[in-house]
Amino acid sequence: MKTLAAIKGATISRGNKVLLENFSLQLEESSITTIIGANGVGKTSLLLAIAGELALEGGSLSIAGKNISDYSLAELALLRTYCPSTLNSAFPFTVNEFVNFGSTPWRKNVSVMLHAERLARVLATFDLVHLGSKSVLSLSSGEQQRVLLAKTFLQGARLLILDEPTTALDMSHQILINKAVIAHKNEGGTVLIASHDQDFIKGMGGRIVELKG
Amino acid sequence: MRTKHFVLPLIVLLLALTGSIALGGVAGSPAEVFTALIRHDHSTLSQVLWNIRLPRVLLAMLVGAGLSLAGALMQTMFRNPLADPAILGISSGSALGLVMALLAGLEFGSISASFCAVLGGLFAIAIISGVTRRKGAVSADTSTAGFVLVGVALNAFIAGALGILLSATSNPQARSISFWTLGTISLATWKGLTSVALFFVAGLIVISLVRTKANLLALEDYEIRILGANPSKLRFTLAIGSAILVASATSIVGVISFVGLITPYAIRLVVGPNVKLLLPIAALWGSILVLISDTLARTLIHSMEIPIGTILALIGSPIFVWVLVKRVRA
Repeated sequence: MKTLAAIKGATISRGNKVLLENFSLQLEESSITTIIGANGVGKTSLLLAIAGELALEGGSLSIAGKNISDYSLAELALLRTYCPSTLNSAFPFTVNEFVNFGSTPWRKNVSVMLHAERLARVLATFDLVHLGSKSVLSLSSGEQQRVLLAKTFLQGARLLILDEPTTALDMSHQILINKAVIAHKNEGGTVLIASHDQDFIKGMGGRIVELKG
Repeated sequence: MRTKHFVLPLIVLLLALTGSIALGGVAGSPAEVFTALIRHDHSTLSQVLWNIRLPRVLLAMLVGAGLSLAGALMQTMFRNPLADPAILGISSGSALGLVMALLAGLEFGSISASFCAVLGGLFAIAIISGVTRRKGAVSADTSTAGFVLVGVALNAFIAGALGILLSATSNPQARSISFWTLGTISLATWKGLTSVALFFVAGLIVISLVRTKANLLALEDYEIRILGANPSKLRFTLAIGSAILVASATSIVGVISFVGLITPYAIRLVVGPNVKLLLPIAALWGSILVLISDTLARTLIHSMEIPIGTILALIGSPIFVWVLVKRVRA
């Protein structure tokens, strides 16, 4: 199997606290990897580091065969995406507008029709069509989580990094996420998830990596 | 859906424009005003219309649009709906830049003097961004009330510096505009209007470099980078654009408060935060607000001019409260 992303001999710290030392992880194409571990052990930091948003202290990170520093921000946006666990917005954008932020990396390169089609599809996938014109700030936390996931999937990156994607979701919506993640894997994509959710992890299959403090 | 937001302000602007041209110390029937405008002859009415009223009316519109746009951009860029060029001291910074340029011998209304006003505004933006920067963080947390207070302090400081400069100088040009720091549109000339229009267009061009990507600034910086955009670059471009717009207004009319705060704030409540709609609609209503205020300022009391800031506060605050209350009840 081909490797999409690899982190080698990395030291990851937040503030003055070293979370992971000499840490290595390879993420294959068409695979799902779930990171588990206690709170504060460094799951989110690891995810952000692999997304290239937390500087490594030693070690290296490569995506699609090249060192991360060889990519521009725009190029990276087509390769990997990261979905945080809570929604942040300084202003009350509508669900349609917020999800559509995900089209930023490729908006200019596709036709208006294709753009609208992709947006409509991702809204349907995450059961957001009926919420389209509502402000994201007026939604429940479960609805906000689906909005974030829809934005992340719309970005269309090969490596999906999802941080606790199901914490606020009810059972029926968890199944939607589960299906979308497995579909991404079956299309050759790579998924990296941090989760506490035992049922979700079991339903997903794939590799499980435990972080210890 | 989109067009409906444009129809009302365009109609109101047309009415305000007509009324504003017709009203004044030298007036006539609508027919007389119309012929005087078309003929452009040596009659008093025609002379007043062409040399005084028309540039003043156009200047009021441009200033309103520019300040309103600058306010909308600053609110977007600082992630703070209370950001405003006058409150944060950007307008004072601009005024300081201009006064220093005048003291150095540049001419009021010239492009080089306005350019110094742009630098003054950018200087104020740089200070406020620098002071509020979080330790160790890439960007400042500007979404808080504390941020606005830093701006209030900066504004007071610059206004103080400006006051000292103006009272200490013997430069007649600088002295004659000391009342201008309170804001007035009465200094309108075609020449000044040209300079304002040039900078206004330059500001629009700079903003157009960013366009709808400005919306991403509602997200955290790392989320923006994940999407392939550079938040620092976006903010920098918006800072330049809004400094140019503020300077375009300030360099001729001085510091005018309120427009940059309430117009975009109120319009955002109605049309939402998407800059694609927010910017043009806020610009339209901003120009209406200043145009009507200035017309009232020069016509309410016979042969005397009321400071436009007073009128703006009297018109603007009830509208603002009305929009807020309507929103809360809905």
